[in-house]
Amino acid sequence: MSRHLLRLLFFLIGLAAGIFYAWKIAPVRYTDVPLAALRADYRTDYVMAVAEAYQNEQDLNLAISRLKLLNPTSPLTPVQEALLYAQTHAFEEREVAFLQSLIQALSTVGAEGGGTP
Amino acid sequence: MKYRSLDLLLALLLGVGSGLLYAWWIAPPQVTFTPDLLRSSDKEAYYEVIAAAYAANGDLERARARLTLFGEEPSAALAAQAQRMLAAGRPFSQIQPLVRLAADLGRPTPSSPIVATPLSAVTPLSRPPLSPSPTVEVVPSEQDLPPPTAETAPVIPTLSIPTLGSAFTPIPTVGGVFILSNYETRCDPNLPQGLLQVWVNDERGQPLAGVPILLVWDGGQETFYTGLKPEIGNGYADVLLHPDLLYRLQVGGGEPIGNLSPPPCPPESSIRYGSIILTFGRK
Repeated sequence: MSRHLLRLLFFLIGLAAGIFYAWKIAPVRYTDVPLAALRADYRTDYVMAVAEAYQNEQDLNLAISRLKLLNPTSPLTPVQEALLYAQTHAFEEREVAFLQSLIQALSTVGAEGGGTP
Repeated sequence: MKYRSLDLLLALLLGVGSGLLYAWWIAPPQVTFTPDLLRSSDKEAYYEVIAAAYAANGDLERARARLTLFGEEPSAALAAQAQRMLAAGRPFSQIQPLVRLAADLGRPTPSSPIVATPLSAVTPLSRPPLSPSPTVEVVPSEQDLPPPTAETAPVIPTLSIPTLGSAFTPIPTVGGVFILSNYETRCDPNLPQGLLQVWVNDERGQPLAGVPILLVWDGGQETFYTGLKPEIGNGYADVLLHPDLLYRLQVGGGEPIGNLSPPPCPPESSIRYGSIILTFGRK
Protein backbone atom coordinates (compact mmCIF):
# COMPACT_ATOMS: atom_id res chain seq x y z
CA MET A 1 0.00 0.00 0.00
CA SER A 2 1.35 3.35 -0.95
CA ARG A 3 2.07 5.93 1.72
CA HIS A 4 -0.65 8.24 0.40
CA LEU A 5 -3.27 5.55 0.60
CA LEU A 6 -2.21 4.68 4.10
CA ARG A 7 -2.48 8.35 5.13
CA LEU A 8 -5.95 8.54 3.61
CA LEU A 9 -6.98 5.40 5.44
CA PHE A 10 -5.83 6.81 8.78
CA PHE A 11 -7.56 10.10 8.03
CA LEU A 12 -10.83 8.31 7.31
CA ILE A 13 -10.52 6.24 10.46
CA GLY A 14 -9.99 9.43 12.46
CA LEU A 15 -12.89 11.12 10.70
CA ALA A 16 -15.25 8.27 11.51
CA ALA A 17 -14.06 8.17 15.10
CA GLY A 18 -14.55 11.93 15.46
CA ILE A 19 -18.06 11.84 14.02
CA PHE A 20 -19.01 8.85 16.15
CA TYR A 21 -17.75 10.58 19.27
CA ALA A 22 -19.51 13.88 18.51
CA TRP A 23 -22.82 12.35 17.50
CA LYS A 24 -23.12 9.39 19.83
CA ILE A 25 -20.87 9.81 22.83
CA ALA A 26 -20.79 13.56 23.40
CA PRO A 27 -23.49 15.17 21.26
CA VAL A 28 -24.17 18.90 21.41
CA ARG A 29 -26.26 19.75 24.46
CA TYR A 30 -28.59 22.68 24.11
CA THR A 31 -29.55 24.83 27.06
CA ASP A 32 -31.21 28.22 27.51
CA VAL A 33 -33.48 27.64 24.57
CA PRO A 34 -36.02 30.44 23.94
CA LEU A 35 -39.72 29.67 23.79
CA ALA A 36 -39.80 30.57 20.13
CA ALA A 37 -37.45 27.68 19.33
CA LEU A 38 -39.79 25.02 20.70
CA ARG A 39 -41.19 22.43 18.36
CA ALA A 40 -44.53 23.38 16.77
CA ASP A 41 -46.65 21.17 19.01
CA TYR A 42 -45.08 22.61 22.16
CA ARG A 43 -45.51 26.16 20.85
CA THR A 44 -49.13 25.38 20.11
CA ASP A 45 -49.65 24.08 23.61
CA TYR A 46 -48.15 27.26 25.06
CA VAL A 47 -50.44 29.42 22.91
CA MET A 48 -53.39 27.24 23.90
CA ALA A 49 -52.60 27.79 27.57
CA VAL A 50 -52.39 31.54 26.95
CA ALA A 51 -55.78 31.41 25.21
CA GLU A 52 -57.32 29.41 28.06
CA ALA A 53 -55.96 31.86 30.62
CA TYR A 54 -57.25 34.77 28.56
CA GLN A 55 -60.78 33.38 28.70
CA ASN A 56 -60.65 33.71 32.47
CA GLU A 57 -58.51 36.81 32.92
CA GLN A 58 -59.77 38.88 29.97
CA ASP A 59 -56.49 40.78 30.18
CA LEU A 60 -55.35 41.33 26.63
CA ASN A 61 -52.18 43.15 27.61
CA LEU A 62 -51.13 40.17 29.69
CA ALA A 63 -51.90 37.79 26.83
CA ILE A 64 -49.90 39.94 24.42
CA SER A 65 -46.91 40.06 26.74
CA ARG A 66 -47.02 36.27 26.99
CA LEU A 67 -47.29 35.85 23.22
CA LYS A 68 -44.44 38.23 22.59
CA LEU A 69 -42.13 35.60 24.03
CA LEU A 70 -42.89 33.62 20.88
CA ASN A 71 -42.86 36.50 18.46
CA PRO A 72 -41.78 39.90 19.80
CA THR A 73 -42.88 41.79 16.70
CA SER A 74 -46.20 40.11 15.99
CA PRO A 75 -47.96 38.35 18.88
CA LEU A 76 -50.84 37.52 16.56
CA THR A 77 -48.70 35.31 14.34
CA PRO A 78 -48.09 32.49 16.84
CA VAL A 79 -51.82 32.33 17.58
CA GLN A 80 -52.59 32.03 13.89
CA GLU A 81 -49.98 29.30 13.58
CA ALA A 82 -51.43 27.53 16.59
CA LEU A 83 -54.92 27.72 15.11
CA LEU A 84 -53.67 26.19 11.89
CA TYR A 85 -51.95 23.43 13.84
CA ALA A 86 -55.07 22.85 15.93
CA GLN A 87 -57.30 22.62 12.87
CA THR A 88 -54.99 20.19 11.12
CA HIS A 89 -54.53 18.01 14.19
CA ALA A 90 -58.18 17.65 15.18
CA PHE A 91 -58.14 19.67 18.37
CA GLU A 92 -61.41 19.96 20.26
CA GLU A 93 -63.86 22.57 19.03
CA ARG A 94 -63.69 24.31 22.38
CA GLU A 95 -59.92 24.71 22.05
CA VAL A 96 -60.19 26.01 18.51
CA ALA A 97 -62.81 28.47 19.73
CA PHE A 98 -60.42 29.73 22.43
CA LEU A 99 -57.77 30.42 19.80
CA GLN A 100 -60.26 32.10 17.48
CA SER A 101 -61.48 34.26 20.32
CA LEU A 102 -57.94 35.33 21.12
CA ILE A 103 -57.22 36.08 17.46
CA GLN A 104 -60.34 38.20 17.30
CA ALA A 105 -59.33 40.14 20.39
CA LEU A 106 -55.80 40.66 19.10
CA SER A 107 -57.04 41.76 15.70
CA THR A 108 -59.24 44.43 17.18
CA VAL A 109 -56.28 46.11 18.83
CA GLY A 110 -53.90 45.69 15.95
CA ALA A 111 -51.60 43.33 17.81
CA GLU A 112 -50.27 41.92 14.55
CA GLY A 113 -47.84 44.78 14.58
CA GLY A 114 -46.89 44.32 18.18
CA GLY A 115 -49.03 47.17 19.43
CA THR A 116 -50.74 47.05 22.77
CA PRO A 117 -54.23 48.32 23.38
CA MET B 1 10.04 4.27 10.05
CA LYS B 2 9.75 6.89 12.76
CA TYR B 3 8.85 9.51 10.17
CA ARG B 4 6.16 7.25 8.74
CA SER B 5 4.51 6.65 12.15
CA LEU B 6 4.37 10.36 12.82
CA ASP B 7 2.92 10.92 9.39
CA LEU B 8 0.11 8.46 10.00
CA LEU B 9 -0.59 9.79 13.48
CA LEU B 10 -1.02 13.28 12.07
CA ALA B 11 -3.42 11.95 9.45
CA LEU B 12 -5.41 10.22 12.17
CA LEU B 13 -5.56 13.35 14.32
CA LEU B 14 -6.54 15.44 11.35
CA GLY B 15 -9.37 13.00 10.65
CA VAL B 16 -10.58 13.10 14.25
CA GLY B 17 -10.49 16.90 14.26
CA SER B 18 -12.38 17.07 10.99
CA GLY B 19 -14.96 14.61 12.29
CA LEU B 20 -15.54 16.63 15.44
CA LEU B 21 -15.81 19.85 13.49
CA TYR B 22 -18.32 18.36 11.12
CA ALA B 23 -20.47 16.66 13.76
CA TRP B 24 -20.47 19.45 16.34
CA TRP B 25 -20.62 22.58 14.18
CA ILE B 26 -21.53 21.78 10.59
CA ALA B 27 -24.08 19.01 10.97
CA PRO B 28 -25.05 18.49 14.60
CA PRO B 29 -27.78 15.89 15.14
CA GLN B 30 -31.32 17.20 14.85
CA VAL B 31 -32.65 18.04 18.29
CA THR B 32 -36.23 18.55 19.33
CA PHE B 33 -36.40 21.59 21.55
CA THR B 34 -38.59 20.56 24.45
CA PRO B 35 -39.73 22.73 27.36
CA ASP B 36 -37.13 21.25 29.71
CA LEU B 37 -34.43 22.99 27.65
CA LEU B 38 -35.98 26.43 28.01
CA ARG B 39 -34.02 29.26 29.53
CA SER B 40 -35.13 30.01 33.06
CA SER B 41 -37.02 33.23 32.30
CA ASP B 42 -39.09 31.57 29.59
CA LYS B 43 -39.61 28.53 31.75
CA GLU B 44 -41.03 30.73 34.49
CA ALA B 45 -43.28 32.46 31.98
CA TYR B 46 -44.51 29.06 30.83
CA TYR B 47 -45.20 28.01 34.43
CA GLU B 48 -47.23 31.16 34.96
CA VAL B 49 -49.28 30.49 31.86
CA ILE B 50 -49.91 26.89 32.88
CA ALA B 51 -51.07 28.01 36.32
CA ALA B 52 -53.27 30.71 34.80
CA ALA B 53 -54.78 28.18 32.40
CA TYR B 54 -55.44 25.85 35.32
CA ALA B 55 -57.15 28.67 37.16
CA ALA B 56 -59.37 29.07 34.11
CA ASN B 57 -60.25 25.46 33.33
CA GLY B 58 -59.62 23.60 36.61
CA ASP B 59 -58.16 20.70 34.62
CA LEU B 60 -55.51 19.34 36.95
CA GLU B 61 -54.50 16.45 34.71
CA ARG B 62 -53.91 18.79 31.81
CA ALA B 63 -51.80 21.05 34.01
CA ARG B 64 -49.90 18.05 35.31
CA ALA B 65 -49.24 16.80 31.78
CA ARG B 66 -47.94 20.18 30.76
CA LEU B 67 -45.66 20.43 33.78
CA THR B 68 -44.31 16.95 33.18
CA LEU B 69 -42.63 18.28 30.05
CA PHE B 70 -40.22 20.27 32.20
CA GLY B 71 -38.73 17.22 33.87
CA GLU B 72 -38.87 18.78 37.32
CA GLU B 73 -40.90 18.00 40.40
CA PRO B 74 -43.84 20.27 39.51
CA SER B 75 -45.08 21.14 42.96
CA ALA B 76 -41.65 22.17 44.25
CA ALA B 77 -40.82 24.08 41.08
CA LEU B 78 -44.07 26.04 41.25
CA ALA B 79 -43.60 26.82 44.93
CA ALA B 80 -40.04 27.97 44.34
CA GLN B 81 -41.19 30.25 41.55
CA ALA B 82 -43.97 31.64 43.77
CA GLN B 83 -41.34 32.46 46.38
CA ARG B 84 -39.19 34.25 43.84
CA MET B 85 -42.16 36.24 42.60
CA LEU B 86 -43.11 37.11 46.16
CA ALA B 87 -39.58 38.26 46.85
CA ALA B 88 -39.64 40.35 43.69
CA GLY B 89 -42.73 42.16 44.94
CA ARG B 90 -45.10 40.76 42.32
CA PRO B 91 -48.79 41.16 43.19
CA PHE B 92 -50.31 38.23 44.97
CA SER B 93 -53.05 37.98 42.35
CA GLN B 94 -50.33 36.78 39.95
CA ILE B 95 -48.79 34.44 42.49
CA GLN B 96 -52.00 32.85 43.73
CA PRO B 97 -52.57 30.59 40.68
CA LEU B 98 -49.08 29.13 41.10
CA VAL B 99 -49.60 28.51 44.80
CA ARG B 100 -52.99 26.96 44.18
CA LEU B 101 -51.71 24.69 41.43
CA ALA B 102 -48.73 23.63 43.56
CA ALA B 103 -51.11 22.81 46.39
CA ASP B 104 -53.57 20.93 44.19
CA LEU B 105 -50.80 18.87 42.64
CA GLY B 106 -49.91 17.65 46.10
CA ARG B 107 -53.35 16.49 47.07
CA PRO B 108 -55.50 13.63 45.80
CA THR B 109 -58.43 15.81 44.72
CA PRO B 110 -58.25 19.37 43.45
CA SER B 111 -59.51 22.26 45.49
CA SER B 112 -62.47 24.32 44.46
CA PRO B 113 -61.96 26.61 41.48
CA ILE B 114 -60.19 29.81 42.26
CA VAL B 115 -62.54 32.56 43.24
CA ALA B 116 -61.39 36.07 42.63
CA THR B 117 -60.86 37.33 46.15
CA PRO B 118 -60.29 41.04 46.55
CA LEU B 119 -56.82 41.33 47.97
CA SER B 120 -56.39 45.06 47.88
CA ALA B 121 -55.79 45.07 51.62
CA VAL B 122 -52.91 42.62 51.33
CA THR B 123 -49.59 44.31 51.17
CA PRO B 124 -46.78 42.58 49.33
CA LEU B 125 -43.54 41.83 51.09
CA SER B 126 -41.73 45.06 51.69
CA ARG B 127 -38.39 43.43 51.03
CA PRO B 128 -37.19 40.15 49.62
CA PRO B 129 -36.50 37.20 51.89
CA LEU B 130 -32.93 36.93 53.09
CA SER B 131 -32.53 33.44 51.74
CA PRO B 132 -34.14 31.19 49.16
CA SER B 133 -36.21 29.79 51.99
CA PRO B 134 -39.60 31.43 52.28
CA THR B 135 -39.00 31.96 55.97
CA VAL B 136 -39.13 35.68 56.53
CA GLU B 137 -37.06 37.02 59.37
CA VAL B 138 -38.57 39.97 61.14
CA VAL B 139 -35.77 41.69 63.02
CA PRO B 140 -35.95 45.36 63.89
CA SER B 141 -32.27 45.94 64.47
CA GLU B 142 -28.98 44.19 65.03
CA GLN B 143 -28.73 43.54 68.72
CA ASP B 144 -27.91 40.69 71.02
CA LEU B 145 -30.72 38.60 72.33
CA PRO B 146 -31.22 39.04 76.07
CA PRO B 147 -31.03 35.79 77.98
CA PRO B 148 -34.34 34.64 79.41
CA THR B 149 -34.69 34.73 83.15
CA ALA B 150 -36.33 32.19 85.38
CA GLU B 151 -38.91 34.79 86.34
CA THR B 152 -39.92 35.31 82.77
CA ALA B 153 -43.33 33.82 82.36
CA PRO B 154 -44.29 32.63 78.93
CA VAL B 155 -46.59 35.03 77.20
CA ILE B 156 -49.84 33.38 76.31
CA PRO B 157 -51.35 34.87 73.20
CA THR B 158 -54.76 36.30 73.59
CA LEU B 159 -57.51 37.03 71.19
CA SER B 160 -57.77 40.77 71.09
CA ILE B 161 -59.14 43.55 69.02
CA PRO B 162 -56.11 45.25 67.55
CA THR B 163 -55.20 48.73 68.47
CA LEU B 164 -53.14 49.16 65.31
CA GLY B 165 -56.44 49.63 63.52
CA SER B 166 -55.37 50.44 60.01
CA ALA B 167 -53.03 47.50 59.75
CA PHE B 168 -55.83 45.04 60.24
CA THR B 169 -58.12 45.85 57.41
CA PRO B 170 -60.56 42.99 57.13
CA ILE B 171 -59.90 40.86 54.08
CA PRO B 172 -63.00 39.41 52.48
CA THR B 173 -62.73 35.63 52.41
CA VAL B 174 -64.74 32.91 50.81
CA GLY B 175 -66.48 31.07 53.63
CA GLY B 176 -66.08 31.84 57.32
CA VAL B 177 -63.31 33.49 59.24
CA PHE B 178 -60.22 31.73 60.52
CA ILE B 179 -60.28 30.86 64.20
CA LEU B 180 -57.30 29.80 66.31
CA SER B 181 -57.90 26.15 67.14
CA ASN B 182 -54.60 25.20 68.73
CA TYR B 183 -51.67 26.98 70.33
CA GLU B 184 -48.45 25.20 71.19
CA THR B 185 -44.91 26.15 72.16
CA ARG B 186 -41.81 24.01 71.76
CA CYS B 187 -38.20 24.19 72.85
CA ASP B 188 -36.86 22.09 70.03
CA PRO B 189 -33.16 22.64 69.33
CA ASN B 190 -33.72 21.40 65.80
CA LEU B 191 -35.92 24.38 65.01
CA PRO B 192 -34.71 27.97 64.60
CA GLN B 193 -35.19 30.07 67.70
CA GLY B 194 -38.26 32.27 67.53
CA LEU B 195 -39.86 30.32 64.70
CA LEU B 196 -43.59 30.91 64.35
CA GLN B 197 -45.28 28.08 62.48
CA VAL B 198 -48.80 28.60 61.21
CA TRP B 199 -51.09 25.89 59.90
CA VAL B 200 -54.30 26.93 58.19
CA ASN B 201 -57.12 24.50 57.41
CA ASP B 202 -60.54 24.83 55.84
CA GLU B 203 -63.87 23.82 57.38
CA ARG B 204 -63.14 20.14 56.68
CA GLY B 205 -59.69 20.25 58.17
CA GLN B 206 -57.98 20.24 54.79
CA PRO B 207 -54.88 22.45 54.45
CA LEU B 208 -55.44 25.71 52.63
CA ALA B 209 -52.77 27.21 50.40
CA GLY B 210 -52.49 30.85 49.42
CA VAL B 211 -53.96 32.31 52.60
CA PRO B 212 -52.39 35.67 53.48
CA ILE B 213 -51.12 36.06 57.03
CA LEU B 214 -50.54 39.55 58.32
CA LEU B 215 -47.97 40.00 61.07
CA VAL B 216 -47.77 43.38 62.77
CA TRP B 217 -45.32 44.61 65.37
CA ASP B 218 -44.39 47.96 66.77
CA GLY B 219 -42.91 49.74 63.82
CA GLY B 220 -43.61 47.35 61.02
CA GLN B 221 -45.67 44.68 59.40
CA GLU B 222 -45.19 41.78 57.03
CA THR B 223 -47.49 39.60 54.98
CA PHE B 224 -46.65 36.02 54.20
CA TYR B 225 -48.64 33.17 52.71
CA THR B 226 -49.43 29.53 53.28
CA GLY B 227 -48.50 26.98 50.68
CA LEU B 228 -45.02 28.18 49.82
CA LYS B 229 -43.47 25.13 51.50
CA PRO B 230 -45.54 22.30 50.04
CA GLU B 231 -42.93 19.80 51.19
CA ILE B 232 -44.06 20.59 54.75
CA GLY B 233 -47.73 21.19 54.08
CA ASN B 234 -50.01 23.09 51.75
CA GLY B 235 -51.54 25.02 54.62
CA TYR B 236 -48.21 25.77 56.26
CA ALA B 237 -46.32 29.03 56.60
CA ASP B 238 -43.60 30.21 58.96
CA VAL B 239 -41.76 33.31 60.02
CA LEU B 240 -39.01 34.16 62.51
CA LEU B 241 -39.93 36.34 65.46
CA HIS B 242 -37.62 38.55 67.44
CA PRO B 243 -37.76 37.89 71.20
CA ASP B 244 -37.83 41.59 72.09
CA LEU B 245 -41.01 42.29 70.21
CA LEU B 246 -44.68 41.56 70.65
CA TYR B 247 -46.54 40.61 67.54
CA ARG B 248 -50.12 40.51 66.40
CA LEU B 249 -51.13 38.07 63.73
CA GLN B 250 -54.18 37.87 61.50
CA VAL B 251 -54.97 34.96 59.23
CA GLY B 252 -57.12 35.88 56.25
CA GLY B 253 -59.90 38.07 57.55
CA GLY B 254 -60.03 36.33 60.94
CA GLU B 255 -59.69 37.64 64.43
CA PRO B 256 -56.20 38.96 65.21
CA ILE B 257 -54.08 37.10 67.72
CA GLY B 258 -52.11 39.42 70.01
CA ASN B 259 -49.13 39.29 72.36
CA LEU B 260 -47.16 36.78 70.34
CA SER B 261 -43.53 36.45 71.33
CA PRO B 262 -40.99 33.61 71.24
CA PRO B 263 -41.34 31.57 74.45
CA PRO B 264 -38.25 31.41 76.69
CA CYS B 265 -36.86 27.93 77.16
CA PRO B 266 -35.73 26.42 80.48
CA PRO B 267 -32.04 26.76 81.43
CA GLU B 268 -31.37 23.05 80.83
CA SER B 269 -32.41 23.50 77.24
CA SER B 270 -29.68 24.17 74.73
CA ILE B 271 -31.63 27.06 73.22
CA ARG B 272 -32.85 30.30 74.76
CA TYR B 273 -36.05 30.74 72.83
CA GLY B 274 -38.47 28.23 71.47
CA SER B 275 -40.99 28.19 68.68
CA ILE B 276 -44.72 28.74 68.48
CA ILE B 277 -47.13 26.58 66.53
CA LEU B 278 -50.54 28.01 65.73
CA THR B 279 -53.28 26.11 64.00
CA PHE B 280 -56.24 27.89 62.45
CA GLY B 281 -59.44 26.49 61.08
CA ARG B 282 -62.15 28.18 59.10
CA LYS B 283 -65.53 28.33 60.77
